[in-house]
Amino acid sequence: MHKDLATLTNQHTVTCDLCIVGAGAAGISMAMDWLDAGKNVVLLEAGGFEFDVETQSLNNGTNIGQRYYALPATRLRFFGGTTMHWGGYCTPLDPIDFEARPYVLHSGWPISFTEFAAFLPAASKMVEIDNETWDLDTYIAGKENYTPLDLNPSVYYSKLFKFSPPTRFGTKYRKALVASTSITVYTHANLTDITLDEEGKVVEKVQAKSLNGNKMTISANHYVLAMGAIQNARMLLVNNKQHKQGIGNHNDLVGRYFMEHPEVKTGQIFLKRPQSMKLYFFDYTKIKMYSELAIAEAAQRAHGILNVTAALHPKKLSGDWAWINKLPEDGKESYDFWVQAEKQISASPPSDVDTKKYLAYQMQIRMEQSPNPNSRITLDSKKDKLGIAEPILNWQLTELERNSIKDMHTLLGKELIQSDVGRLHAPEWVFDTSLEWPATLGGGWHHLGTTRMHNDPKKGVVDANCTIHGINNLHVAGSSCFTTAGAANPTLSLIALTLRLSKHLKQLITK
Amino acid sequence: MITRRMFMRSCSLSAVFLPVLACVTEDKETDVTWFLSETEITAIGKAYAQNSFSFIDKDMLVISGWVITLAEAEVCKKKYLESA
Ligand SMILES: Cc1cc2nc3c(=O)[nH]c(=O)nc-3n(C[C@H](O)[C@H](O)[C@H](O)COP(=O)(O)OP(=O)(O)OC[C@H]3O[C@@H](n4cnc5c(N)ncnc54)[C@H](O)[C@@H]3O)c2cc1C
Repeated sequence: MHKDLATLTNQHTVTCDLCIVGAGAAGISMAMDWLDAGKNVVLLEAGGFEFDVETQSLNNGTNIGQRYYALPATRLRFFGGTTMHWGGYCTPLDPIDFEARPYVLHSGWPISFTEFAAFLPAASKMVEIDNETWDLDTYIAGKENYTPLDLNPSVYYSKLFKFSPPTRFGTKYRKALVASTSITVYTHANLTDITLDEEGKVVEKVQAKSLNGNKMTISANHYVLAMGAIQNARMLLVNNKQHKQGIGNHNDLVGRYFMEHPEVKTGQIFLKRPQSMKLYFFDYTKIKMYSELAIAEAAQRAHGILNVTAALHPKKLSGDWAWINKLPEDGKESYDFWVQAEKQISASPPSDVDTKKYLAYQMQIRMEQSPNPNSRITLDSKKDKLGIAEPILNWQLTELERNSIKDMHTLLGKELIQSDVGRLHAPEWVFDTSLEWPATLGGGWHHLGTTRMHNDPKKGVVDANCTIHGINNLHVAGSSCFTTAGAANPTLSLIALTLRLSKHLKQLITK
Repeated sequence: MITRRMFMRSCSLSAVFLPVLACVTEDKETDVTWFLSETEITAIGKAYAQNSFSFIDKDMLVISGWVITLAEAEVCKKKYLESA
């Protein structure tokens, strides 16, 4: 069923089993999991089925830390959420990402890789990638010209990435959700208020508003916040009528530990002998898989290095990356930019580049950011059109990121020599960590960690089930629950985590 | 063909692969022209002559942004001194 709050005249009150807030990758994945559950589910979405400027402006916010993309240009606020222009890169978090590593402060998830990985097949289905192995060698067996660099796998290996078409969740799943009799999708329904019981331990009801002033109240057995990592933290902080510090924030953790995946051009690899590099060749929307060089878990542990992967582009064909600083800052311009870019790329024929002709490869890394309490979301005195305080993002990186970049290059340079594959060159800032980050440092538009998972309420906002400590019927879905970031693009993994939460909720709700 | 990578994978015992590494590194490559231009050779040679580099291993160093072997740095130095 679908209802548009903007067109509902009377004050609307609904009761349901489960109320999911936000219809992006996480919210839609959860709702789809309840299609046949025979329960009454409400899915609240801030926007409509199409992009609109006024709703998008509710994503405004201010950056005060490390230079970053303008906030309204990093997330989308309509049905489908940010998947309506995500890039479709998929690869899961690695086992090491879940470990408590002595050299990464605040690391260690309360769940194991195995518990998480059990939900990867279902998550893969949501993003329309195959459910075959994630082991590269098995995956490419028999594929002609897919030849990994012959490096020592206990130092560097080639990691498999699969590409979603990319699935636009709002387009792909709208019909099924709207046709469902047990799920009601409310569009133009912005969560504004979360009301707890007198003891402050249970959510009694939530309120949603449309920009034209309509209101609705939802009373559910369980609530799931799935609004993205900035918005999940913002809405918990802003709801501070009963708990002065905001909901779930007794220990001043909500909004802290904001993480991104720093992405930047770094060194170059010079191959000693020509070989097919088709395996590493990126051709957006034309390829279903590719590989990036990744630092092995044993080497990460031995050298105290964060998780990192490096994409390899033929140097001659790789641009100067200056475009990263010229991206539109306005929400609408940014949306148009990505839609246009995709149209153009999709219309072009597949590349006919013969990778055997190239010996020099530019590395573009995507790395784990270590959890840092000072990297955080707070509230501004400035308010949006619904009267909700805007978020302030203070993105802060640490020395560990710079040291890891230096060490992973040193190690790769060494490994290229020892394996007789090639040589490595990197710019000065890579080896001299006292120098500034280069101006082309960007992120993957990945927002993580602001309601981090930990079994100890003093160290995390949600527990191992993604339930807010101390509030048994309030749960969080999405990468805001990530304890550490890993180096993997987060959507596949956040969907897996969401489906794990969904399974837990089914046990609670059907009891 | 069994690649070195596949070989390592099938026997993760360091006792097995360490001697292999030793073989690879023993026979040093001293031709640098396959990855360095004349200008880079001179720059590296000069930096090496001026002790402006850091060791990352007993026989490998980072110099002018390159990770190379000691033998390669020596070759660059020789060429630099010859051209000076
Ligand atoms: C340009 C770009 C490229 C990307 N490429 C990749 C990639 O290749 N691979 C990858 O893994 N990830 C990628 N990402 C990240 C990916 O888009 C996100 O990880 C993913 O969309 C997050 O899912 P989510 O459901 O948590 O949040 P979102 O998808 O942002 O959805 C949140 C939803 O909540 C709604 N909402 C917000 N506030 C409220 C409110 N108050 N009330 C009700 N609803 C609300 C929003 O309207 C939205 O629909 C990319 C992102 C961008 C911007």
